[in-house]
Amino acid sequence: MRSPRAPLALLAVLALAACTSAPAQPPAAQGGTTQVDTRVEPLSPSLDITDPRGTRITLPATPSRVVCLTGLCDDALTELGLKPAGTSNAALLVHPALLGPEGRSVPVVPGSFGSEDVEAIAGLRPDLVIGLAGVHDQLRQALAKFNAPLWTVDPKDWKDSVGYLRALGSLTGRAKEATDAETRFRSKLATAVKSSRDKGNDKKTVLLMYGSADSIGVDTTDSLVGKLLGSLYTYPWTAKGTNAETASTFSVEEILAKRPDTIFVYSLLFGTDKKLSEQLAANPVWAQIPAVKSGRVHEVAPKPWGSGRGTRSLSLVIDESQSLLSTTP
Amino acid sequence: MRFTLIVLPVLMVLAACAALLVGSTVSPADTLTAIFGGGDELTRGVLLELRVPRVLVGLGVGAALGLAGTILQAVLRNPLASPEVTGVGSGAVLGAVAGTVFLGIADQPEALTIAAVLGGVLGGASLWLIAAKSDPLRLAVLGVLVSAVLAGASLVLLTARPQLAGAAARWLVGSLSGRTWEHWNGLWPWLLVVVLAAVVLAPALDLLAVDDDHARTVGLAVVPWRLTALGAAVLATAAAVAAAGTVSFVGLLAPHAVRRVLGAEHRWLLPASALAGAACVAGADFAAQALTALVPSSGSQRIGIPTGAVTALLGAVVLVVVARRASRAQVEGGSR
Amino acid sequence: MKRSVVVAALALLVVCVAALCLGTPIVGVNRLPAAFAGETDLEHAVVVLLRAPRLVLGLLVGAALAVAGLLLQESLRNPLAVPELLGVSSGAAVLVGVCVVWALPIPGAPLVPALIGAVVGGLITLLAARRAVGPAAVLLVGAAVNAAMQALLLTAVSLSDSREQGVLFRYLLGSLTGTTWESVALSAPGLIALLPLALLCVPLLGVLRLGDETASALGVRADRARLIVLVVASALVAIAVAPSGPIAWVGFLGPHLARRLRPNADPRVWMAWSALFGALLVVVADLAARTVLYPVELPVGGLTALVAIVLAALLIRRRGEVA
Repeated sequence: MRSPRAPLALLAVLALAACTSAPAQPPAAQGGTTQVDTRVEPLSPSLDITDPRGTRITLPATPSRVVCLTGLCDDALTELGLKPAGTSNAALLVHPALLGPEGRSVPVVPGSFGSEDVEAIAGLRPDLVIGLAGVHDQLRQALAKFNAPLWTVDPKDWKDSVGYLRALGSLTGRAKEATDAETRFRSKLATAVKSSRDKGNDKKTVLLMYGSADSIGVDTTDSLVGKLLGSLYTYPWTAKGTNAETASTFSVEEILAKRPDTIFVYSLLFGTDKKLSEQLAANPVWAQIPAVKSGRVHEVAPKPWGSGRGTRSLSLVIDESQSLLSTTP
Repeated sequence: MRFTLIVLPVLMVLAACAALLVGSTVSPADTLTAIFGGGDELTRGVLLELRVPRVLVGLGVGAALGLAGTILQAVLRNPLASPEVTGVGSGAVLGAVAGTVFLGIADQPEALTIAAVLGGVLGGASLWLIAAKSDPLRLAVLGVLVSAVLAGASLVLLTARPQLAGAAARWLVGSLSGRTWEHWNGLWPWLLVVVLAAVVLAPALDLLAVDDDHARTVGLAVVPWRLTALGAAVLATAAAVAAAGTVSFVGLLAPHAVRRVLGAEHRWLLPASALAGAACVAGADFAAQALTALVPSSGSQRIGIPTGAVTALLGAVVLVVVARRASRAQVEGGSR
Repeated sequence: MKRSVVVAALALLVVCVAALCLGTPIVGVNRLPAAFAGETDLEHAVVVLLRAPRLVLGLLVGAALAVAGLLLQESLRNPLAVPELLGVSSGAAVLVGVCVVWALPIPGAPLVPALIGAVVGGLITLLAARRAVGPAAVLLVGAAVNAAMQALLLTAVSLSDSREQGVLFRYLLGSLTGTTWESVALSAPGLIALLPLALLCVPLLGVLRLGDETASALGVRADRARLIVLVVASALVAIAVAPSGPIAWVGFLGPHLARRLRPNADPRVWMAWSALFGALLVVVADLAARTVLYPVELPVGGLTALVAIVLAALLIRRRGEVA
């Protein structure tokens, strides 16, 4: 029995942990090269749709009570002129970009993200529940008992967000609203890409991060918003070796080296009276970064920037980032 | 002794009923109506598809942990042994987390049970390899060490996939939320195996708990019996973890509590621990649900308190008291 | 003896220089003086403001954790007693977790709440263990307090949103990310003051090693002596984990390496060697943590845990063969 098997087995497990996934393709970091197609395919209502990830959803009747466990759902329903029957993203829903104060009337689903309370969801009598793939799958069986099919979504880029919007529009019989929203979004993005190029903003390095000076996380080029910003500006933040959408600890050395011109930041982890831009300016390391030096650190709303994922939130990201880039501090 | 064997089932049924009646949405009064055949479709659905399997899973998990704890304490001859401190519990968690992260089997309770069993075997085997010849105290401390390392590995896995952290954190603190008949179906066959094993093992455990030489002179094949017993404990723990995550301290405290009253005979100890463990988890689930209903919502978020947090807090207090009393008794009673 | 001191000094020097030079950008050894003099902005910022405080804190935290581990192992007569069992690090983590999840406005976060949490966690364990007799009971009480704290922390984690979780896991595994000279200034004086205090505890350790009964025959109240040692160890761990989070297994590995390499030395020498090994381990692990997956940083505690698994398995097997 005195063989080194036990430590080897443990090592193997840890080695697996260390390299969880195959290295992702290094995405194009340079902005301004994307062409946005503004054509919109026609769409008709259907109770049998296939979503951008290839998942097929078939419903017996047009859903009228949709419960949202992920921000994309709240966002898309708002685009379609509908209201969720319940949401676990109340803070997103009451943001002016979505429903605003009107969103307060939507019941909140209790429980923590990923293990929401099924009894409470059932109490909302939903006919469709939309959650996030990889997180909410474990609720599927319990929800099925209440005839509430679970649709797990997994948007990787804005095209997926549009695809999910179309799918939901088709399911809910709101094809026109969906294509209108798609047209709006595509033309907004196309205009933004063009104006970015005209003003030379595509050469500007921007950074979207969260946390505080002490410990920062970064939305990498694998994240939805990171990809969107990458199509407008220079966004060189990759998470090498993983396909993590958010890097919860990112090297400050890398940020020093890439010298971002503008920083968008959300979700201050520790409540203090000092604004983050001031905190960063007072920090000798961060003070070296052009964005901090010139006062171009902007605090943005955490919910639409961090967990919106849909065309409404992404439109807000486009608008806000453009207007913040053009203001002079 | 008779008294205890009547009290424990009554306690268990009471705890189960309490857990059955309390929940986030449907009120206890409505639930009662539904139990007696009334109520609307939603209430009946909540009762039959959520509350009943939830309570059953809770009872099953408690019983499995109680049995695992009793077996481990006997075989390792250590009153401090429990699924959590033998590496079996945290190994099973690691298996379940790895299954969730790499294989995406979070929605298949049966497959998860197998992943958890494999992990539990890994944890138990690593402890066996490094500590087979250690004395009981050293074994317990080595067990804590192995558990801590395996728990660290689970955390490393979770940092690798931050998106999954929320969903996977529930393995680290036991929770009964959203349990359905599928979870019960994933649990009961294993539980049945363990219960049968316990019936067979009971007389051998009495001997193994004392010392090897004595057992040999009576004609017991010590090593095979011990391995069988350990295997049963691993199965019980892994099935419990796969069904509910880490419900801490139940496996340690349930056998302790009943041994105090019933003495050391395993034919009484095993069923009593199972009952006590079941009552404990169902009671903790009731407390967690009631607390969740009481805690005011913080802003737009309403929180759900996991069952495992309740057992961990209560268990820690009880363990501190027990350890202090035991250490003093040991000193007063001379060296053991 | 002389030779091993020279080797150790050399190893320390090499590791320190490597920690200052490696990363992105790589700063050549010949460029270090210029960087310290502040000739170029970027190299000055990277070396003096990012890497140097990290190195200093890593050295101090590693030494403190290893010394605390030695104090615990000797006073509890258990080679497997680790600082993690004091409830100190999990106490720190719980309070930081609560601050993050409920966005509590505590000034000086996360350092101040971590320190408060660490002290409270340690006090709970010490109070709970006060009446416990014998080393095993103390360990068990510590493990119980620790488990309860972990459960609280994980409850907090499961209530937070997914981005907060990423940052919270830092406090579960330990990391030196974001160390500034301010965090060094806050913790260094305490650690430097406590390390000599730990040396003063050595005579108590000698008595405790003889066993509680012999100690009382010598006129020393074993429980009280143990309590003093525990207080010193807890204070060390509390100050060490406040800025860095619980870096796992340093308190286990440092003393074990010291004992293996100098089996016949007296506890004072062990303490020095433990401190050295602890410091080296943390600095090397941190170097790996920030370069392996650059630009993403790993929690350094994950790497020390990995080293610990291998070494623990080897150490325990050797020991088993001897016994």
